[in-house]
Amino acid sequence: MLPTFDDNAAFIWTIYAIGLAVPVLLLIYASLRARASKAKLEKLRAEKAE
Amino acid sequence: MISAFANPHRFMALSKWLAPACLGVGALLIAYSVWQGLWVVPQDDYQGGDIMRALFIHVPSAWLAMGSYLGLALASFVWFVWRHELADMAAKSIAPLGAGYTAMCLATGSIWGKPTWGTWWLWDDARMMSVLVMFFLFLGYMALRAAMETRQKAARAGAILAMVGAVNVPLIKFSVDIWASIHQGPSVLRADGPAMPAVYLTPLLLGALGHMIFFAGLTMVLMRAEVWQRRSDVLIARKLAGA
Repeated sequence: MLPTFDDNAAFIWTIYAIGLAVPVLLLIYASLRARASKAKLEKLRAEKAE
Repeated sequence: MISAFANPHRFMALSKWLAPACLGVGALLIAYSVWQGLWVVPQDDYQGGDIMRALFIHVPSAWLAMGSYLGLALASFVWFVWRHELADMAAKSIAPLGAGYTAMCLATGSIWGKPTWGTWWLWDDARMMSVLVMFFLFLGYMALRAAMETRQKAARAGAILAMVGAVNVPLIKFSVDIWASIHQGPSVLRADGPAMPAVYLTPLLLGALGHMIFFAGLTMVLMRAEVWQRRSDVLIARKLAGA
């Protein structure tokens, strides 16, 4: 169950949404970059092996 | 000792398990801090009621923003003096993450400021402006690197900017003591100990530790991506030379 706050509830929820969104977005960014770099290297190695 | 850690093969072997471990432990500590901030800690009537719960998001992001810039400057220094490529990879990896955490600090601080001080932003506040300058330093670092023709030039130009820009970090920390600021003085990192009750201090410190560990995990993931990218570049260069 979600907690209830005073008149500043909208500010609090927005701050927590940003606080969770930023680390998650950074994680997605880092994972995508790592995946793309690894895939590129594996493709080049496969081409070299052929 | 630095040379032993600066071996990319050793780094790849270590970070293969350390990066996900850091991300997992960091996420757990962040989740604990969020749970405490939203559900457990009592309302603080002296500090403006429930809005003080923003503390558990804004303060760790501010510490991480400053810490990440110091990390960027330190890695740049290590590359500049000893030319360890892993240090340059660390600096390049820290920059977008530091920019993200600095943006988070600016956004959450602005939102916290509206109900607390009645304004989203003050252009003559030393703390706000020095953090904004740091955000632009991160962006400038990334833009400068991207504009350079070669990796060596990018590393050199970026390292100089990062080291010069480090002068901004103590200015952020001591801005509330030196200049007039709407921000309160330090309440945790003080010479005579924290002025904050343990019920707030413990989840704050554990949350900040979680963000630090999570940040370290993210940095390792990006550094691994950079190692793979550079290995690809070597293969492409060999292919072109052989063609």
